Parts: sequence; C-alpha cells; structure tokens
Amino acid sequence: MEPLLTKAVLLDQEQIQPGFFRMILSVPEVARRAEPGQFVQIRVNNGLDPLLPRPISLHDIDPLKGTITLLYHSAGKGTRILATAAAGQELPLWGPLGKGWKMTEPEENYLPVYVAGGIGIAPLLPLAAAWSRREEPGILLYGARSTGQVMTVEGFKDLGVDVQVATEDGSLGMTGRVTDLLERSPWGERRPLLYVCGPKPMLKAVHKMAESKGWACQISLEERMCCGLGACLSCVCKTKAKAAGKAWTHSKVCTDGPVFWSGEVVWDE
Amino acid sequence: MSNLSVNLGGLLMKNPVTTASGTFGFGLEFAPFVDLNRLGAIVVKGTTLAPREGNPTPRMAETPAGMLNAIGLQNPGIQGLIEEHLPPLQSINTPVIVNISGNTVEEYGQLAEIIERTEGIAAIEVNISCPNVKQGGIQFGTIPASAAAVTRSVRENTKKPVIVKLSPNVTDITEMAKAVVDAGADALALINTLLGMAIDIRTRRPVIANVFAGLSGPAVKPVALRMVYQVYKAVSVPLLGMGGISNADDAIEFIMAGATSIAVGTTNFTNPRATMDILEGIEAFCLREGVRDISEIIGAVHR
Repeated sequence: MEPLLTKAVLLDQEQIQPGFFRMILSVPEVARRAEPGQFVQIRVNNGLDPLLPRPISLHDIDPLKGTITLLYHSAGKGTRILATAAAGQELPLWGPLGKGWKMTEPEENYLPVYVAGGIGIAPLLPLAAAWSRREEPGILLYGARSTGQVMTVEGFKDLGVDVQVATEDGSLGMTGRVTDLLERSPWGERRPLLYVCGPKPMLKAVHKMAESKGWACQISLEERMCCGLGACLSCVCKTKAKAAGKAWTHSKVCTDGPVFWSGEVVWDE
Repeated sequence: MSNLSVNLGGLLMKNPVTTASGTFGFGLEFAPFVDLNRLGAIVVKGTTLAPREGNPTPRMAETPAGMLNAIGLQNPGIQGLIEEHLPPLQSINTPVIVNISGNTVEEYGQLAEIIERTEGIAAIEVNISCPNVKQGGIQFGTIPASAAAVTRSVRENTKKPVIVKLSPNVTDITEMAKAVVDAGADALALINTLLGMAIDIRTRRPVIANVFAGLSGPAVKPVALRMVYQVYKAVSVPLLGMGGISNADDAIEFIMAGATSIAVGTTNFTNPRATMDILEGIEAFCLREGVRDISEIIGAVHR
C-alpha cells in the first residue's frame, strides 16, 4: 500500500517507564494501510530545528478505531520534544513505510518466537497480535538491562503469548541476556521462527545463534534515516549480493527493510 | 494564470520547479505525494559510469536547520539507470535531467556520449564536486581549468543542454562560473553542498563515517542566495538556483536573485510534497503581485 502524507492527532501519551513513552495517534488512513513491522515518519514540530522526521515503528495498529500507537525512547533532541506533545496536538506524519515482518503459511507449522532487546519490543506487539489471530500466539523472549527497560509485557500476555524475561542485573526474570533464554530452546519440538528486534550487538548474537542452530530468523534493522522513502540512501545496510563475484551490496533499510530474513543480512566486523 | 514556463539553457520547463539530485531518488519514490507531471523537470540521483556502493554508514547527521550527508554516490551506474529507472519515467510528461559524476575528464565525456544517444533524457547536470583521480583527488570544481576541462569533455559529446553544477567550496564562485561558461555550459546549477563535519563528543569520533560531509537545508540558504546573486552578475547563461529552499518565498528570493529555475532538495525529506507546495506558492505569488510572466521577476533584484 502506498504511504500517505497527513497530520496525525495525538489522542494520548504516557510515560510507561523512565524515558519511554507510548503515544496513541488518530490517523485512520494510515492505520487502515499499516502492517506489523512497518514504521511512520513523524515530525516533532513544524519548525526547522529539528529538521528531519523521526522514523518510529508501529507498536499497535487499530484499523477500526483508526489509531496507531508508537512506543519510543526519548533519547535525543527530537524525541525529547515529541515527549512533550499533548493530547489534541497535530503532528505531520507519513506512512506506513517499509517492508514489515513476514508471516509464513500455516502449513509450514512455524512457532513464532519474538526476540526483543529493550525498546526493540515495540514493533513485535502488532506481529504477536496477528499470529494470535491465527491461534498461534507464540513465545516472547525479552532481554533488557534492568526491570526499568521492560515494558508492555501485559500486552503480550493478553494475547496469550508465553512471556520469558531476562535482565542483566537480575531485577526481573532470569539473570542474563536474551541469548541465555534462547539457549534453552523453549519451543520444545516445534519449529521456531525468530522475529528479532533490538540493539545491534544483540541482533548479531541472535543471528549467529540462529545460523548455527538452523533456526528461521527475521531481523528488523535500524539505521540513521532521512526520507524513509528510498530516495536519499542514508540508511543503507549490507546484504548478500545476488550478482556473482560480489560478497555484499547496499540495501535500503527504509524500503528494502526494515525487516530482512537473517540470511540476507551481512554484518560489519 | 501567469506564464511560469522557462527556458533553462535550451531545456524548456513548464514551470521553474525541479528537484535537487540525490534528494528525489529516481522520481517514483515521491509519486505517492507528488504529481510528477506538474514538475518543471526531474533531476535524478547522481550517476557514474560503473555502479557504486557508496560510503559506509553513518552517512547522515542532522544539524540545526540542516543536515550533513556523505552518501558517496551510491548508484546503479549509467546502464542501470537507463535500463531500470528511466523507462517508468517515460510515461510522465516532465523532462528528466541526469546528474553525472566521473573520476576522470574522459569519464565525463563517455557519460555524455551515452546520454546523447539515449532517448528520454532531456539534459545533463554535471557534478564537478568530485575528486579528480588523476590529480591526487583534488575536486574538479575547485580549479577553473579542471572544471573547464570537464565541461568541454561533456560539451564535445552532446548537443543536449549542459548544466554545470558549481561547488560553493571555492574562494570565488564567479571565477568558476566564467570558466565553465567559456567551456560551453548552457546553464549553471548552484549551489552544491557546503563541506562540513560533526563530532560525537561521547565517542570522540566524527559522526559521519566519511568524516567530511555536505551541509544542506535551510541553514545554507543565505550563502546559496548570495552566490546566485553574484553569479547572475558575472555570466549571461541561465541559472538553476538551489540551497535550502523550503517554501515558495525562498524560491521567489532565488528567482529574484537571478535563478531561472529552482531546485528543492533537503526539504523533500521534511515534506515529501514540498515541490507541489512551492509550485502552488509561486503561482499564488504571481497572481497576487500581478506578475503575468515569471520572466518579469527573474533577476528582479538587479534592476
């Protein structure tokens, strides 16, 4: 579906953990077109500074209510301004953008396993909702530094997802990392399909595990983005080249991704 | 309705609004937001002879009212452009301008020769802000003789309009302008990005992988406008003005400074519909101010 340039109306925004905000936007045409794993470009104001839109993934999509939900970390200049936006405010926005998570055919009999690191949880909730509608809610393996970076677990539980948490400081769930949760292969005899989103070192580690164990795996990538439309070539990543004699080529995170099959992704050492 | 059509060095445009190379992809990326038929021209992503993967990331950094980029000319090469990206543009009633870059003077000539025999490309924009591989990597666009050599190489291989894009990173831009006009340029485009950089104070490293990057956006507008004004006085060929144009008022400033056409660049990233908004704003201005033909205000500030 083609993206749309419009103005979203902020319905509600709350801080759900220190520095982490969840905002609900009324933007019916975008909500109707959006799919899990896609993102929107949102401008935090109408001024010239900050100049560029912020790419933020969709945390919830409600086509009936005409709303989308964004979950973001208020870490930089733009998102700090976004965090001060109040209900009723209009925010320029375009989307939905990018290629989202791929759901496999039911006959393939995959069990979805969502693998999240910190704020990487955001784009996995609408995916879990889609799998849950197919009566295959799956498993969430969620790693974070501390309990203060664990959020929206209830949303997954409501969908029937088996939630397993690991924190590095042991303040919630198992002490350790998300890869420690993966080591236990909690899906038993089922065939797992990993859906991974989180910081780059975590993506690399999970990718490596998936490759060595032969698990199917999709990865949502992040890169400094500008247009979100595939025009500016700011947000490229390395992917396996199709042409012979070449190890890799540059793909666009915004339009070729942000979600890639792990077999496509080439990491820098 | 005022007459907005212009002649940019032999390239007929239905209105002065076009796009800055590298900010509009190959055009179709913006089709969901922009009626491509209404643009005066489309300048597509910079093209080289062979495909290029460009620079490593990070390639982009935001700055106050601007941005830095160092993409490194990632592109599918001239054949890739002609085979993949040109055909879908043929159904659009807007001339396509191809921006070319070369490592050597000869490469520019080869690119011009290929474009000369390719239907569906209306004009060539020559990016001279590229390192000259044979001369220690000094940019062609910073030495008048090199810039002129590139221009001549292109001119000798094509009858299509040749628009040379000037670098602002020079002591005297009028000297460069005169050199390339003498070498056969039909029009000049200005300005390319200003060379800049940014540092991450936490990691103590440059933000951009390439270290240096081109600054664009509203922050550069006064510099660009001044250069258009200067070059208008120095040469007699038409100018394609660009540099931080974010609305119709900005565009009209460039036209009054001497630009026959204007290009929208970074603003495409902050408002994907910007070219249409600017076109409509220029139409409204002309109506309001009783301008019957856009030529009445081109260079108005000099009269």
